[in-house]
Order: sequence, then C-alpha cells, then structure tokens
Amino acid sequence: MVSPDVSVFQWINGLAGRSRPVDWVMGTLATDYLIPVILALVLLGLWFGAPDRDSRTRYHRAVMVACVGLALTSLAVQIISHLSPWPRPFLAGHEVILNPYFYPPHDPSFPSNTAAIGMTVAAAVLLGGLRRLGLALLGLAFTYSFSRVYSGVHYPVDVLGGWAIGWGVTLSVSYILLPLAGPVQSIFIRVLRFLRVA
Amino acid sequence: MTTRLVLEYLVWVFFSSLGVLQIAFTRAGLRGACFFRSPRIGYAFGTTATLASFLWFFLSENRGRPGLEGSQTFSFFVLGGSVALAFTFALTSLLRGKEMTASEPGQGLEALRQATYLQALKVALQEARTRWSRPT
Repeated sequence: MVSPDVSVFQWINGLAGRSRPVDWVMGTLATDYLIPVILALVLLGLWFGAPDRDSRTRYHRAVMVACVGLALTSLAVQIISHLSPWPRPFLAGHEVILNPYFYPPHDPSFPSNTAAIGMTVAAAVLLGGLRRLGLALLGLAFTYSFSRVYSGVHYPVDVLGGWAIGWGVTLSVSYILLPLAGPVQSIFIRVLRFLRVA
Repeated sequence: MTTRLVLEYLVWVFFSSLGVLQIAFTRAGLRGACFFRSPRIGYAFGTTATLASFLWFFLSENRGRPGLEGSQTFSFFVLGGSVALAFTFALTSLLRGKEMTASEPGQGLEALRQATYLQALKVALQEARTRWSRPT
C-alpha cells in the first residue's frame, strides 16, 4: 500500500511535464534565489519603510525575530536532516517526474529548508501584527513549497516538517529568546540609531 | 559556484535593493534618503528598478541549477544590500545636501526626514563628542 504522503506527492508531481511554460514557472519559483531574495527584500523594506515611530518599533521587532529565527531554523534543519537523512523522492525508488528547469539536489529531503525559511519569515511578520503582509508571505511560503513538490524534490511531509520548525522556532524567538535578550537587543538598536539606520 | 553567477547575483541584489529602499524611504517620508522630490516618481523608480532587475536575472538564463549555497546566498545578499544602502546615502547626500539644512534633526532614522544621511551622521557625532567631553 502507498502511504498518503507518497500519494499526495505523486498527485502533485504528476502535474509536471505536461506544459513547458508551467514547468518553467514552477522551476523558477523553486530556485534557491527567487523567493529567498523576495523574503529578504520584504525584511529590508520593513526595516526602513515604517511611516511613524510606533510602527517602526513594531517593524524592527518583526525583522529581528525573522533574522534570529532564520539562523536558528537553518541550524535546526541541519541537525534534524543529519540525524534522519531521508533520501529525496527520486533517490527513494518512487516514480518521479523531474522538472527539466530545476536541478535534483542530493542532500537529505526531510525537513524542507525552503518551507522552513518561508514559514519563519511569514510567522515573524504575522506575530509582529502585520496581518495582510504576513498572509501574503504565508501564500509565498506555500507557493515555494508547492513548487518544490511539483519539481519532484520534496515529499509533502518534508514541507509540513519545515513549516512546523519555522513556526516553532519563530514562536520561541518571539516569546522566549528576544524577551530574555532584552538588554542586548536594546544596545544593538541604540548603536544602529546612533548610526541613523534604525 | 562561478564568478559570473556571483557577479550577476550581486548586480540583481544591488538594483532590487536600491528599488526597495526607494519605495521604503518614500513610504516612510524620509526625504533625506529619497532620490526624487516627488513621491510618485520615487515609487515609479523603485518599482521599475526592482522588477527590471528580477526580469533580467531570471530571463537571461535558467537559474534552476546548483550554484550558490544557502549561506553564500545570504552573505552576498547582505553585501549587495549594504552597497545599495551606502550608495543611496552617498547619492542623496550629494544631490540633496543644499536643500536639506536642518540643524537639529531627530534621532535615528527620524533624522532623515529633515537631513541627508551625512548631515544626520555629522550631528550625531557632534552630539557624542559634546557628551563625552562634558565634565562630570
């Protein structure tokens, strides 16, 4: 019997290879550059784009949660993937349609780093009270993950694992780590304020 | 990792950051860091620079190939973004130095509402010098 995870994977991945333009779009969305750079640009824009002082404090907090969260999320993904090195779908003997516009990576499949970083930034922005932007970033994180499953390089469970890590780490940073690091954060902001960049 | 990919990535990040920074500074009303007096032109420039750089990077070649590692993508983004920020501050200080003449700009980024970056930094350094040289 095929597991539900593999069934969902084969259903989504089965959409690949039917249309070259759709494969190109999905391959481009799945790259290591497009969505990570969009996420970074959103954080850059948030840091400098607050219309008033109160919003600026809120935006800066969201950006700091996202940055610390990204570092810890990447670390958590590295540790988990080394502890349980699941092979990529195309190396596990399943029937896979590889997207010709995206390369097949050979590092462990679970958890999905791309899903984790997308969710970390979306969660940080949502927890910062920026609901509309946060929901848009959530949509972006979903699209990024979908494109990876479509391209045949992740199982849906890898994505769910990545999302869980992203949410968990961001919640921990926002409610535990950042309040504990209050004095350090305050010195950091004072230095940046002196340099006129915060 | 190829040198060409790194250079193209840096150019893309530089121009897209330049565009996003113009949109952000215009939205925030930080006139001392805006290239243009008109907010409408500022938004148009920012959107065009960002979109054009994305289109150039992704339409010039298939980017779905192995290239930069995650840490390299991040480091080169920080480099390209920082250069874009420094360029913005340098250019606006040159372009708008004469029209922005606030003697007491606010603190932090707020200072850029009434002063260019170099003017604001100069005031910050003067304030720090005064504070440190004051007898206790």
